[in-house]
Amino acid sequence: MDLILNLLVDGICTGARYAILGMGFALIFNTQRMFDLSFGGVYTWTGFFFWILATSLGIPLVFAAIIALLFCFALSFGVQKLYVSQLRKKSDKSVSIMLGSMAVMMMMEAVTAMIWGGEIRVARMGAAGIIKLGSIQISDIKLYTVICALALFVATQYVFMRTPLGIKSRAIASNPRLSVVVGLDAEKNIILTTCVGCAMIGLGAILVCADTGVYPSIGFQSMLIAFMAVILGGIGSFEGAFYGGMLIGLIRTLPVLRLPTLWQELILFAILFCIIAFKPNGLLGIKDWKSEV
Amino acid sequence: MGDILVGKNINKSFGGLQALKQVDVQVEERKITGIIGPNGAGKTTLFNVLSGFIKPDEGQVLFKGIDITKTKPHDIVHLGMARSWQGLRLFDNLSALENIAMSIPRRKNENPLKLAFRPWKKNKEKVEKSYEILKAIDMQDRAERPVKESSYAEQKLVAIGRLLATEAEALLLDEPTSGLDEKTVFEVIVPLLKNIVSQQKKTIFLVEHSIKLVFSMCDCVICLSEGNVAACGDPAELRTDDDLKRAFFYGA
Amino acid sequence: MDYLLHIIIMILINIVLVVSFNILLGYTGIFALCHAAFYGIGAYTTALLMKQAGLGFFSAMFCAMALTALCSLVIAIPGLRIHWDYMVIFAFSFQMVVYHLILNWMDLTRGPQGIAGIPAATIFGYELISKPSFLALCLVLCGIVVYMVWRFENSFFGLVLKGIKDDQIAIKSIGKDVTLHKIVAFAVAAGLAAVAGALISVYICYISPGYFDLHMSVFIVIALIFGGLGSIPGAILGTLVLTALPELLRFIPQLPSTMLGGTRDLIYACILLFFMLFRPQGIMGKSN
Repeated sequence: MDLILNLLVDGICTGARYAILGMGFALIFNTQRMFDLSFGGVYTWTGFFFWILATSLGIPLVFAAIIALLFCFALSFGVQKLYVSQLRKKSDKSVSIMLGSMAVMMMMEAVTAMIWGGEIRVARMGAAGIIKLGSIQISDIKLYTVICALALFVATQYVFMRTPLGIKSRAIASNPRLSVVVGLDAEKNIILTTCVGCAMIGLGAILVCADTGVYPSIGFQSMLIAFMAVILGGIGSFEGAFYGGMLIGLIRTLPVLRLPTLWQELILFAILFCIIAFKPNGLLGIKDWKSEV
Repeated sequence: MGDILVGKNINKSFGGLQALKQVDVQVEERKITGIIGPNGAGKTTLFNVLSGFIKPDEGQVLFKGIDITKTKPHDIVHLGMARSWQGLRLFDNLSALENIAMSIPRRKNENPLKLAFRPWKKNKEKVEKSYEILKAIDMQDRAERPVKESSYAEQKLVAIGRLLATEAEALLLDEPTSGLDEKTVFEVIVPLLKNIVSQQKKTIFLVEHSIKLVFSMCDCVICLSEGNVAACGDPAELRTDDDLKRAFFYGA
Repeated sequence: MDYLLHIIIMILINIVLVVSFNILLGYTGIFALCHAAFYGIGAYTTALLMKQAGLGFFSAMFCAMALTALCSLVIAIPGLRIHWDYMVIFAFSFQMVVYHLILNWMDLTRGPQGIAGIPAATIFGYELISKPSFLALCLVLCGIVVYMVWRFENSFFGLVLKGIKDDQIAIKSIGKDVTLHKIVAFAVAAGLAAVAGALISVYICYISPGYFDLHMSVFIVIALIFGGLGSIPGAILGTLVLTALPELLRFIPQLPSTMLGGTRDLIYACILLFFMLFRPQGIMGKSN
């Protein structure tokens, strides 16, 4: 019984990590309506930047995290302005954006691999603090991850549904062409929202770096997770991405009871395949944004 | 002469908007029938329903007596009815010759392997047929340039040529002359369409905005407004009706 | 000399892959990011048929082609109902499923260990073990594949595929069945990828899952985009440059061998970055 409970908690913690990724990508995707994958590269660089701050420069973790978040925001702004935004102007084909942004991610990861190699880099020195809740044991960083995920979930929904900024942003996102007519700048909104989404993802990178560590290709793998979370939960739905991420986390950990670990990846991708084939709007399929256009 | 194409009680809504309301149309064989009406009347929607690209909410479409309401568009072309598009929809990166040649239906001696692995220019019959059509639309000199490099007028002609290439008996043309100058319209297109009906014994059903054109060409006119058929019949007779004159035949 | 022959052989095998992928992305406009999966299915089928069932090379290759073409239906048929843009992710998930299947189905594929001891190809009793003789086989098969794709491109079927890339609805209005054409395009592309798979399995007579992963699919895409979408000479040029490039890197003395992989990926990424922004149709492709 204890084992199952701990596994469940484990699943929730992993799910929280993935939910953050999913929510970040959902923000990016819902505004752009295109698959901009550059956030994978931003993830890797933010993680490594945090690691350098925390270990080589010895900055206390919390401050390092704040600086790394600012770096993340600036970095994603740079990526958008210098490349992705230009790409969007030249072509409205989603394949182009997807390939181009994937190239950005590949480039960022290749540079990281060339400089630091493939080893895992952890930001924390020494053992993690363990917190006990009844018979459940959980490391402090994992608990923070869960708290962050929930906080982001609630906060983002609030900002987007209640505040004027959020409402304006959603209006622009739902009809970029019309919004230009009434004087709202669609491209600025896209860049801003993308950077906020990337910041969320960067937070995910920081949390992971402090927990199990980062390595060059982690950005790509996180991108896959974010992708799957959004698709599982329903393309176009922000809350779907949260639930999608949690679900993937649970799927990843629970089958350990019965199946060898190697099969987890296969199951995950097989689920993704089946969902796109039979229910392209995702499990929660809130709305098909394609029909709005 | 019977009706080759019949639409019965066609109803179609998009969201809350009803585009077609209990529309009945009859297109007589070997005649030119025109459909006119203000923008938003539902003419293109009607075309889409008749050619199988949209399924009506209610109603039936009969072609040569066969119910084609649920038939797929490409199968309808095989049955003998083809349509052109208001927005042309040409294959921009291909040449006029290619656009036309590829629209010619499969011949009995063309098995799948030939279709897939034989260079298409080797099919002399289809190449000759394509050049015949190109001559009819006066495009034989510019046949091998990519269509996107041609002028708008030339592209409209290629669209008609492509329609002819399908060898369909009933041709539905969606605004074949819009955007063209009077000379091209009355010296090239009108004679061509009249010839198609009289010599090649085909049926033409077209959507038009030019009243002058409709009166010079059509044997029968359908007036569509807000999804309703307001009138249909011989243009000369319809012209005498004052209400119709105000609503549809402004200036003619 | 041996090394040069090796590179030429790899170039020829890759040409088969890129030229067959051109059918999907270059002509029809289907971004099927799963070509390495077809490559892998072809390779493993050939390897297993030759090693376990004792089939000769050509029999095994034809069976592999048929099986891979059949497998393409798994992605072609559901893929037709979904929106154009989703196709990328769908194909990607297919690629990952196939890769992980190969990796995990230990009983069949021996997983990460790969399959070793695949018999060499034997033609008219002559075993093709030496590089020059195998090169001859590659040249012949690659030549046949390229010729077939050329004829395919210039046929009526090929015209329809190019039309599908421009306007699918218009294709329906001239009486062609879009669905059927896409299914056939997939089957042909997959079947030809299997030829490459057959070649690689009898080359060094060892295959492992890593040859057929997402990285390989991405390589095929970049090679085609670089060389030129929709153009056979472009596909060949792209393959040549992108296969030879990493090998040339080895000759730079300042570059440590640990950085070779990263440098290669960096170059590929920069190529893709540049071309997507400035020349998406590639060097020799027709502009879109």
